Amino acid sequence: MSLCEYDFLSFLYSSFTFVYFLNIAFILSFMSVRFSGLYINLVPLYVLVLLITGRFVGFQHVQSREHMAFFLLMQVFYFLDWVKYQLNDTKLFQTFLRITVTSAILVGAIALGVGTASGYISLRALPTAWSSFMFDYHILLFLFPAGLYFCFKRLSDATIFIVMYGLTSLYFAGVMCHSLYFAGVMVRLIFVATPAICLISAIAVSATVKNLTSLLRAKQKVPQTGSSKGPGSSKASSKVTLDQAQPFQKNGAIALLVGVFYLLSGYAIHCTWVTSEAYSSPSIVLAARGAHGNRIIFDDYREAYYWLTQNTPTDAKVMSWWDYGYQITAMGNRTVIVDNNTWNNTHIATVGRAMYDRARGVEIGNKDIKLEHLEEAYTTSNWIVRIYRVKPPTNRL
Amino acid sequence: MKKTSSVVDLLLLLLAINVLATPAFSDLVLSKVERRIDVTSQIARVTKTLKVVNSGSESVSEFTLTFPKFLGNNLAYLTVSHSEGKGKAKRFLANLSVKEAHAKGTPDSISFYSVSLPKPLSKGDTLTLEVVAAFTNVLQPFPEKITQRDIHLVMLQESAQYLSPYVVESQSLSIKLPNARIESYTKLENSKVQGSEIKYGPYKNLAQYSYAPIVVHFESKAAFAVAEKLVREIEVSHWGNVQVTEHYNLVHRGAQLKGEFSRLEYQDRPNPQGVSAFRHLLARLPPRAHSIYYRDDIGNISTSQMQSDSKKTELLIEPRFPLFGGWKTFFTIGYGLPLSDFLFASEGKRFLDISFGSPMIDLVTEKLIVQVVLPEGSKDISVTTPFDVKQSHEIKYSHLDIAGRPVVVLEKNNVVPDHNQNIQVYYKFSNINLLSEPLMLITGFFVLFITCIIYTRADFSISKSSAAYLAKLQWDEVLATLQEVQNIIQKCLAAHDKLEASLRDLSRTGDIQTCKAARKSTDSFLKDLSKELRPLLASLQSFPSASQISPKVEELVAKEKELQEKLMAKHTTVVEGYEKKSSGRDIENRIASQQQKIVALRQEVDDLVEFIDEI
Repeated sequence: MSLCEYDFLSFLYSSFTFVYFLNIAFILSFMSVRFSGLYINLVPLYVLVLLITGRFVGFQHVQSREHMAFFLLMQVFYFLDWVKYQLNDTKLFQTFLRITVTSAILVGAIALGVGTASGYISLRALPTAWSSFMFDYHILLFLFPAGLYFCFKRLSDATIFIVMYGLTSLYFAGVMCHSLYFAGVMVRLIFVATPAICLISAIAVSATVKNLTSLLRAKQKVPQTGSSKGPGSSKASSKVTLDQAQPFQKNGAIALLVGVFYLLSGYAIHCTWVTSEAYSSPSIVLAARGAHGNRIIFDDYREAYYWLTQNTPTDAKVMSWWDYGYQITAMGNRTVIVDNNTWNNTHIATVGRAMYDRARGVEIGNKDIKLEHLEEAYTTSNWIVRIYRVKPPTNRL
Repeated sequence: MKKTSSVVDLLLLLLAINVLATPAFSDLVLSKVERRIDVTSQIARVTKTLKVVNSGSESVSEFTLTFPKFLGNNLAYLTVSHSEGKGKAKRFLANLSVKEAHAKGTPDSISFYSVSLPKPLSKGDTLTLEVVAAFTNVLQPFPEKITQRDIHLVMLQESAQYLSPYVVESQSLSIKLPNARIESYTKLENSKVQGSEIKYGPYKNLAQYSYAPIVVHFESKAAFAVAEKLVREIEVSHWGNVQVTEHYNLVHRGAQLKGEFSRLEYQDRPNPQGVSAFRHLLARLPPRAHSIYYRDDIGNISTSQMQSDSKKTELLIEPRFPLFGGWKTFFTIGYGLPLSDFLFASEGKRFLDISFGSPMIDLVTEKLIVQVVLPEGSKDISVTTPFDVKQSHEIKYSHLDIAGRPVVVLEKNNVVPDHNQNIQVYYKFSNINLLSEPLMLITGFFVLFITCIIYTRADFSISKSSAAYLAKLQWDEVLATLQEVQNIIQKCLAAHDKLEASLRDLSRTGDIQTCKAARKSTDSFLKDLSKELRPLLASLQSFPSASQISPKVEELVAKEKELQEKLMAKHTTVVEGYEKKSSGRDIENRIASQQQKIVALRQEVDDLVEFIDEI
């Protein structure tokens, strides 16, 4: 049942990324299932789903490392769970976990080092630059290790999951390279790691704030003045020093809390700025900075589409490359010949042949061009879009 | 060409009329007629100064203005006033009422307008009338289709001799052309060109209905911007804002563009091709206009500039593409105005005094619809306009409306910038209605909150003996018991602290008796508390739903008891030490191990308390 559902959804989306996120859904569903019979059922189900959806979107997702990684993650999680069950002792399990994670990190680091040294991994091809890590993560970069520490302090199913997710996705974001698919689009993998990093850092912040506020709320013990006298003096003096340290402790706690809130508000402002500067550019209105730093807007696409809407007959057909198909349909309100959802490759190829360019290898500045079947209907103010009208055929006589 | 044939027809007809000489209009004589036609923009503005003399025997109270039909059909604006004095001392007096009139027996190819004179003109008197008329669509683009490179040539057809049902003694005509090329003009006697003006006349002693058609073919540099349809919505809100939203369907009504549009030639410097197109439109908005937006179907248009000062706000907008002949576009302009500048009170009524037409200069509107939306509860709505409009009423439903807002819809065709005068909309509105919206909101939220309060406090269980209901009741009791247990534990811990405090006092003051007394009181206090605790523990054990919690609670109580005992032991040891006057270090050593255990126990107790806290 769920199999059919997943397949139908992936068919609708026809998107490779959807299946990618579907895996996350699988993992979450696995989480709630204790291993036993159900586990045996879910694994083949998962494999079947992958294969059947592959029929619609190509088999990249089976081949790609991302999916295999998530499958691996799931297996790792089950392995850990099984080990926990076998060991039957929390402390032992925690030690076991610490050992495995440390060794995994060590192995990873060694592999990276060896790989770099032997030239197998070229540093040039390291996809995500550290500066982009800082740009996207800001204070999470140092809160994340702190959060890891807190997670290990209080191990439970939830914390184990989040640690595994965070570490493996960071591994992908920071280290993976090699396949062409990854080379260009690394930044997305930062987003894969983001939920885990955020949660772990949040654990760190929450634990810190909790400790600080409990210091603030601790009951004020009666401060000791005066000298220690007679028996119990050293005990009393130690009590005195403890009491004297407490007022400063309170002030220190307040100062640290203010610092934490400043940090968090700075982070919120940074995130808003990053989103507005780097992740909010619509690709239909282009913007640039002029020579004096003034902002120049290139609204050529909308200008051309609006001209189409207003000044062409309503039954006009527009031939363009398929990238602009949906935009012309939506904003220009005209029929297009090929658009973004055209599956017929021959159809697209025919349009491509009609538009084959004669500009390669030709001297620039060819001015005596005489168009025979077309005439220029409109060109936008910054020359980005040019619209041509098909002339009615001339009489033969 | 259709128009010249109609002119020829008219000419023949007039000759016929001359012969017949209808007697209805013969008493008045126009002693001097000066006509000025201004065709620098897309509208032909005709200004006539007529000196009327009553050469008949009866007093006349009406004057007839005539236009040839092809002009009369395109008449957008006509006012007639009378003036006194001449030259610099000319004073313009009131506007006179003009009505379209068509007397029997008059030919169809002439439009007649009847002007009521301010007072009857008696025999021999003179009167000076000033007529201002604006015509749209009389500048015909000729040729009708041009390429991008061509200049925009238009044609005006008029009459060199003033067409009038009265005898004209002396007349002259001057046509003011834009400062550009004059392609051709009809050369009659007494016609000459002076700079960019063509002067015809003076002609003397012309008969009634004399007509001399002339055609002037010249280049026009005006922007032939015409709004096919303009919907102007003026929404009045008594909270302090008048919101004006205007939707323009703009078209270029000049010569149509044929062939291609070449951006290269359009942007070429120093000779840009495409002078027939226009790019900018200037709108003069009232001062203190705010929140101005300029958008269309697909989003915001960023090519606009605004400049405001204390007298006006100027908005220069540029449509997405330059408009060539035949091209059209659509956009929306909206702005807010402060209410105090436009809403006034008079005789128990309020009235809105606002401009009627489009704020764009030099824009002709073929169909103008003005919707004035008044607040809900407005009554007795009436509109005063300086010219004829078609009125109707509608209802608009908007935020928080129950009965809807009354809308006065005014429609007018063929609107020119001369029509941009103020109209007044009168209505009655009682101030109580202003509170209706806030009261509605307050009542809504109030009802919501009351419902929530009732829902959380009332017992809606259907069956009082269902398992879930009983379990809930039981859980509530468990929580209450836990709370009491906690309170008692807190009191015990407070007693422990007091004991410790008494020890510290002892070390400070050496007062053994007070210490002992404190110990005794604490002892009895703790005993009381443990007595209270016992029934609570028993009841807690009796609840099945507390099966997981009660062992913890018991553990807590047991530990607390242990702590108690240890503390007491320590206290005794210290007091004994003091009584024996042994050194402080001795006492320390003796109670060292006890102290350690006490600290550990205290920690455990605290943990358990926290755990219970979190339930």
